[in-house]
Amino acid sequence: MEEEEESILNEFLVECAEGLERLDQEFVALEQDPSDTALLGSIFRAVHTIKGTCGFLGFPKLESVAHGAENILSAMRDRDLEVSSDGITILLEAVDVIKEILEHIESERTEPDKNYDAVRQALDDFLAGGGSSSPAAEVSPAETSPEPASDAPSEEEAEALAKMMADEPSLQSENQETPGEEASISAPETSDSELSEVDDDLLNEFLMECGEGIERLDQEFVALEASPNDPDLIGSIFRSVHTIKGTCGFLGFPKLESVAHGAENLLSAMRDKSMAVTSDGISILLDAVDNIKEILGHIEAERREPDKDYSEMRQRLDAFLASGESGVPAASATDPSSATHAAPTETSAETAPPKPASPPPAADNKPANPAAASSAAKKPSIAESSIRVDVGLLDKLINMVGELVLARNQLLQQVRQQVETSPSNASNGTVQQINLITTELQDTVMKTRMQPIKNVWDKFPRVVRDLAKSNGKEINLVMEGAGTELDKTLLEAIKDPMTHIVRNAADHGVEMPEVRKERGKPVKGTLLLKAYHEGGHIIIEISDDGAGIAVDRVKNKAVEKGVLTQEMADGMSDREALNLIFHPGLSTAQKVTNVSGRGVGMDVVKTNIEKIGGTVSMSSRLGEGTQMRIEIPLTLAIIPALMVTSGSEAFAIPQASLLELVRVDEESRNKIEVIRGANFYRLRGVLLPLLSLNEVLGLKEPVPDEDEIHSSGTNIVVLKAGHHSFGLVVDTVNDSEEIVVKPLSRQLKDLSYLAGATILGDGRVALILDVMGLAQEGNLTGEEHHDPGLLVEANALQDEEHSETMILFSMNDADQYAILLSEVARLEEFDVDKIEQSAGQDVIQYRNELLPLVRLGDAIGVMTSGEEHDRIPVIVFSHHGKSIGVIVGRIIDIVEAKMHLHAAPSEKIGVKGSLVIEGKTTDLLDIEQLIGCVVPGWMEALAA
Amino acid sequence: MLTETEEVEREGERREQGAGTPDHGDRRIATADRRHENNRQYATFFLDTHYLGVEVENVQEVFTAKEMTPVPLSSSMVAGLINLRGHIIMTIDLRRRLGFEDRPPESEVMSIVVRTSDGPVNLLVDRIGDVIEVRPDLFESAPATLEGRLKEAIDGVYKLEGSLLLALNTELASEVM
Repeated sequence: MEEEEESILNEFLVECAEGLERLDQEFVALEQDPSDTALLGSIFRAVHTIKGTCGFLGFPKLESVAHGAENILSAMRDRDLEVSSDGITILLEAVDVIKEILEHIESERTEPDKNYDAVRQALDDFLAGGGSSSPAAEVSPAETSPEPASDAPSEEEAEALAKMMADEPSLQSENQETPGEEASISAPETSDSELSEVDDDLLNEFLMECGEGIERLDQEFVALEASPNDPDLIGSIFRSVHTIKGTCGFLGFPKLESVAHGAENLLSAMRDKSMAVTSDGISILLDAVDNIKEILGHIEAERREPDKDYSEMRQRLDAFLASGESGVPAASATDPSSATHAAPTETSAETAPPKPASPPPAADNKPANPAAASSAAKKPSIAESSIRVDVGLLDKLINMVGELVLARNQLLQQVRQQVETSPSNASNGTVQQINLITTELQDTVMKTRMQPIKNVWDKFPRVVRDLAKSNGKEINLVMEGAGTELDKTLLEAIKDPMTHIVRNAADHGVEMPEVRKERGKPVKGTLLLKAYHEGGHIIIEISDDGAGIAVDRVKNKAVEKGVLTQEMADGMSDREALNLIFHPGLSTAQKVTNVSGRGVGMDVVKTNIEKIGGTVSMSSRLGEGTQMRIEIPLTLAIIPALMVTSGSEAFAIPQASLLELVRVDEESRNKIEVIRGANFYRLRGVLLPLLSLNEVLGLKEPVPDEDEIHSSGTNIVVLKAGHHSFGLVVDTVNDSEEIVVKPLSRQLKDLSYLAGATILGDGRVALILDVMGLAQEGNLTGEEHHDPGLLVEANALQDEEHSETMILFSMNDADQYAILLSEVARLEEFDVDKIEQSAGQDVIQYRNELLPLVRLGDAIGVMTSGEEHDRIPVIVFSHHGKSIGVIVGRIIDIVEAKMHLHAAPSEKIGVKGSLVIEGKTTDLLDIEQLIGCVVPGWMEALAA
Repeated sequence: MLTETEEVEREGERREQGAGTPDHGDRRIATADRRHENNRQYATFFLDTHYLGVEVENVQEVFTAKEMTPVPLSSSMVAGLINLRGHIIMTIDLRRRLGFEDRPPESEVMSIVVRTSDGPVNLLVDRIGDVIEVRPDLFESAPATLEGRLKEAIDGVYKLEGSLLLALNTELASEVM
């Protein structure tokens, strides 16, 4: 029993959660269009369901709040109360309270101890103060102390009835007439099929809900007959019928409502034990259910009620109720016409036990609504055509399809080999077919995990509304492509990042109305959410027409926070600067609000999106608005990947992060530059950092003898990791393949370069590389790429015959000098007019310090050309935290050269010797000695 | 990626293990308790000169070790990954895990796949022995003088005639440090 109760409670919670999710959105929509009665009806229903159900389950606090909200809604629906922004605000607050209570119930199984009387009071006050003719009279006595169902069933029933009367005032006795004002308000002119799309959705949803309930009803009635004293069962039946009744009123189905209402009355009598549960009673109820099914079938096919008259079914129900239980068996047994109505549909014939009184030949029934019958045959009903499936089951299915894809790949490989040896292989055709079917199966199964992005977006109207309200802004949220579907896991993953972006846009993007007016923009700001497919990716754009982002401010902030130097900031493009927004610890919001502006957001957004293989970028025009663009893959379970081999192991690289493939021949190998052990490749003029997979992962280089052709060239896989790209050097590039991502043991999750593993066509396991992680593993993290300098420690001169990396530069184009790169801290370029004088020494403000400058030309006594330029190159040397800059003419290159050092031709100061680099005699400078000469005491000061 | 899927798989595997194997933390205690009620069955194997065993119900299967894919940068105890009928399973070299010397090259290697709370794990051993039944009264907790890594991974020792059987705790032994 307890278990059953638990399941009822869970069901209730799920139902409520579904309803509440919609509520926020609907309220906001209602605020925009207060005259939308269908919407109001839908909101009312959701609140009503919560209220109705929690009474049975014994949650008085929840009920009280829900009831208060319902009263206001009911007044709004009856036009007694205007749909105002204030009203919606107070209702939204009530919804929040309901959510809070429900959360507590979910975790603790009881209501919170907190007192919610104040909330209820506020709702009632609002109603009393705002509504002209509030239904307070019916409401106030009952709801203040509702009792749990088990304690006082009769009292509770009375209350429920009172509520029903309050909810559907016109229904009580007039079962024939269209239920007056209420129905006509909520569903204007439903008599014809002129239902708007929203109404249609609403209707479908209603039909589905009803369908689910009714399926259960048959079964439950039968169970009830066996154990007539099971209060839970009656409760459950009552709820289902009550839902149908409650809803059809709004949708304008008077006949359906009438029958349902009759049945509900009967059930309610049974529930409070004022009437015994008898077999006859159940029979007549089953008849009513069959009638309801029939009407629903018609509604589904025709979008309206059948023309047939159902008043007589209602009369039978009422008569049965009036006569207690005695007189009625006769009615159901003798009245032939009632039997006709009661004709069960195919489903009920299967599930309901045979009742001697009711089942007439089905043929009697069919002609009454031929359209319903024929269309029902054509397509399955909505309730039948959609089912709820456990996500676990779907995952299992996807796993199995994954296996199948692997097996297919293996099969294809084998057949390909066979075909090579004996081309007349007959099985080839079959294999191709299996190939096709598998692909299709894979696609279809993948679709089962797909959910519309709407599921995430639904909460944004509320978020934006609340933000706009509290900031005094006006924002219009437009959503395009809400039906775009993506994998459930991905949907979960983008939820928080998207919320953050939307909040940011509403909070900081859109300006205050006065400002907007001043700038000649419409007072109401627009926030546009857009989702669409593009080449295997889902693109989500979030754009606002707000103030845009001031690039200068971002740069200043970055410099202020020490993320960049002023020089770096100056040399940065607007686009690069905008991307600083994603840098941890940067927020340009001038004031920190309680929502955003703490500067912890955007970098998290970026990491979260990159975690699922997506990218995020932004563009902004000052004064015109900002646009964020999120790109994410469609699914994660099966992905296209490029297979490569390195160190005789196979690796898979997700296609999503692949930019291009480059093969460098032996002849053009010199295009690979080496800067202090780090390799770079000049790809269309841009230096691309190179990582060797063998080196990063510590793999063994393949023995070169077996495949001379391969080893003579270099394979570079150009990958993008966030905003940076790098080249991955691998031994061999193989085919592109669809691979199934398999999870790894928990113990291997720490390896950042590893995204998972997959099984190859030949059954071997291959590792899937995580491109971001790989970049980290190879120390190619973000900022260092903006940094033109090379952070290296000063190193002593090594063995003279060794190769060394050095910087080549010239003073006046005629000469060439070299400095060991290991002695250099970084290379910079400074504006000439930034150079200042301090104590007779040239200095420049650099990284919050004064950097003394030395003109190399003066030191070694040569003319320096290039001084007429605005910017001059400076080589910075560091020693124990102190730096000095050396102004040179022009930096030529960074090269690696053998240290064939010739003795210096003359006793030049500060020259270690000469060597020949690229056919040119080059002086290798001894920088310590030079500096010691020019700035006496600098070195000593350091030593001391 | 795909943590949900993984959870489901594990759930399934846990169910497969049946009621006899409670979760993770309790297992060591639970097995020790039960040991006093009945004789226990151990699947035995050899590592170097040592005789070890794992409880039969924790063993999924035994086979000659197959080729595996190494996992670069992982612990040296991780021998690699194998494909076991579509499942990718981590392989632990038990010699390294328990602090033994590496086995001489070209020597025979066997695989024992054991079930753990983190899914199946493949253990590399030298040689497979028989399945034996041991009496609970022969059990003794691990001698204090045993070398650290080995001592941590065993439940205790069965004093058999002529030899000692080290009762391996699969849960702990599959934990890579």
